[in-house]
Amino acid sequence: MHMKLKHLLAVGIAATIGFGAVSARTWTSADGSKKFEGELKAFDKDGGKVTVIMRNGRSMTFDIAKLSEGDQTFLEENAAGDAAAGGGDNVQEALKAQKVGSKLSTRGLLEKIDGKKFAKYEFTKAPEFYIVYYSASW
Amino acid sequence: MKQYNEQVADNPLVEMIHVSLDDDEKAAEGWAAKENFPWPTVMKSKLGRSGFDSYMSGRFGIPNYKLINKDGEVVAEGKGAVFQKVAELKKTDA
Repeated sequence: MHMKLKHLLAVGIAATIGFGAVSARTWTSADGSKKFEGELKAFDKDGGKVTVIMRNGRSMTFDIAKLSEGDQTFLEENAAGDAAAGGGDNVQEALKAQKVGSKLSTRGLLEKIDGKKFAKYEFTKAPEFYIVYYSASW
Repeated sequence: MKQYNEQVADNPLVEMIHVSLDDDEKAAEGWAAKENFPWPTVMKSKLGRSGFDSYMSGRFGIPNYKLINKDGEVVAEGKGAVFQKVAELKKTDA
């Protein structure tokens, strides 16, 4: 197995064990022996490369062939939507072109729970619609 | 959470954002951690910067759901209507 993927899987498994339940998608290695959690950041269909943001915030890029058939199908099915939404590395540019996204892409505005603490968060997609859920703990 | 996982998590057209109206940010953080919120949060102290304060006028109670398009227009209000609209979007556009 490619060393980078081994490292990625190790990080993913460690993150899952270390932080308990996670919200990101579960990815599976091509041979089905390993699983890890992470959010899709970018998919280069032509180059066959996928970039995933791990639970520890690190961004990892690897060959799509290292992933299971199910994951590859997921990427293929989402490639069109990703491109329509601005696509991978262009997410920030696509957000800045939006009235809503331009405000939300301001650094430090969004946070997301990481274990028991909030961590800074940046969008990995430029959606067309936003569900805004106003609430409080009390 | 179930609706989020089924309709939003892998939907490139839609994202969900929690606007916390807690004055106590530690309380907001503790709640989010306890529930393991998968969506990003805007804290109350940053509400003005987000622009989401402009949708809180009139008869506004919490919890409150609004579906806003990228141009800032409200296209659905109320949890049922919002997720119904999201389901239609997914069928039509995704």
